[in-house]
Amino acid sequence: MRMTRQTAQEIDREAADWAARVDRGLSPAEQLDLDGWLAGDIRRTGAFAIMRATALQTERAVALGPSFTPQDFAETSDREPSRRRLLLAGGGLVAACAAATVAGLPLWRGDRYRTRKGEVRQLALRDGSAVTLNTDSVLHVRFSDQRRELRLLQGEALFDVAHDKSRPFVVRAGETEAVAVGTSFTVRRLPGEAVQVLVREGVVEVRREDVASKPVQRLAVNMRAVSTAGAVTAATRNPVSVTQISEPELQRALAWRGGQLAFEGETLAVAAGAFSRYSDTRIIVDDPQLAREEIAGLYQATDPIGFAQSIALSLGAHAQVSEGEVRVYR
Amino acid sequence: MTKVSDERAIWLGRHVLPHRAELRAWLSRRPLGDLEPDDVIQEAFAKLVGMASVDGIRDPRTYLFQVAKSVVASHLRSRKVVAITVSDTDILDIAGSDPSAEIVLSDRQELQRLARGIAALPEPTRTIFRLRRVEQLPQREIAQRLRMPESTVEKHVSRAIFQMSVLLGRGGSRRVVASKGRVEAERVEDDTADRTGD
Repeated sequence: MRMTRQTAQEIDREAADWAARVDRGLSPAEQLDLDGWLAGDIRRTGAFAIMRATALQTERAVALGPSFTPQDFAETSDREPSRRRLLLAGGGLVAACAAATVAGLPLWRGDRYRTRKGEVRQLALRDGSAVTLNTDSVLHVRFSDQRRELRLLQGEALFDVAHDKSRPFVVRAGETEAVAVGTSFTVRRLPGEAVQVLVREGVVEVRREDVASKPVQRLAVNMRAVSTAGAVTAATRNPVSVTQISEPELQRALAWRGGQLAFEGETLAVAAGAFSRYSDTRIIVDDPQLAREEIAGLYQATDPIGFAQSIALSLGAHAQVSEGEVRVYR
Repeated sequence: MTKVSDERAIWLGRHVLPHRAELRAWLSRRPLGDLEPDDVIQEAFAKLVGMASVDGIRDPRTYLFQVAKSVVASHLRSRKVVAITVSDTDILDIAGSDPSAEIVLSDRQELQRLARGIAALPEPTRTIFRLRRVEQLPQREIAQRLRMPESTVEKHVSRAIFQMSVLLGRGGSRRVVASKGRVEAERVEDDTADRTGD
């Protein structure tokens, strides 16, 4: 009966391994492996239940919020951390200037905010400024007496900046910097795209850190700066180009604040790409002619299926919904 | 083989897991034959997983101890499987049995415990588990961000879960002497925390 009986400790370790695999999702083959493993010894079911219970119980840590800093809770004595500290850590929007260290990333002291796909979130900053963070975005905020520094690591955000002459409001997106004193503007940084700055109110200065001459472009209301990514050569002495845009165009560009996407003459391919930022359900258009069709209208950003169906209707095409995608075809 | 449903796992995490360390201490003072306390704990949890319903369990701590006892008893009786029967006399026999002693932490206390538990993890396990649980990044994304293989991330998540299971098994208060004292201790902690919140 008992040849080389596994110890309870070994079983606990293996059970934790299985819980970690369940945490990332099991393939059908792995599910069979797990079932087989569990069937091998009754203790394994108990150990797995303990680890699975732990994994689920720790899900509650999400309530600690993005400004949670483990160092604040490191136990030097057996004392509880103060209630005040916990409230700071728990109230994600309350600014708690604390170290956010992520191995492999530069050290950045400040707060970190993140939105998931499809989520649009309003943040109230300490200085009275407001930030609206669009889908799938990451923003770091750090305030000092001299500067209000923000870094857009990815995604898009609208900044409604509280007036404070003594402390410029600086948003960095890669090598592009947008500086304001009191104004309203958006910065957008998407993979494979040039960084864009769009001014709704006031004046914003846009500069490039990686260009020796540090050229500065001044943007007034309804102006858009496109800051081309990649190496800067003599030929592209000024990688930042500025264009004037119309008021309706500006409103369309800001439709995401209400969870919507606005199109006016964009191709279906471009629109499908826009939806992919907000949802994992992909819109697939194989027909190149259909992909070039121009579209218009206001759509719910998180509803690619609804969009595809209504577009299909207006273009005389079909929308076929399947797992994780919706296909538009004629 | 019994499936471990999320629902049952959540119930266990909330009502049974907090008593794991206490049960282990209790078992270590009893004759177990060739069993280790953790053998008994695992089997007891397995039996709780296998129950059709746990709705009728009003005092999960006592019930856990009872199941553990029956696991030991059935092993001692030449490993013949014996159905779990809970009789009144058995319940009276359980050390420190006091239904009011069930540890129910407030949300805030529980959050503090999780925060301390994450803080106590070694790096890089701590960063990885924070990204996974607090920021809710998928393991794959964490691997990309930290430039490490997904299997490494998985290994650290496993370690974190293992270590957190030890913490959650401790029921939240390490200053427990008697079961009555536990309730008092919790209350005192609560007051202290309130006062320091100036």
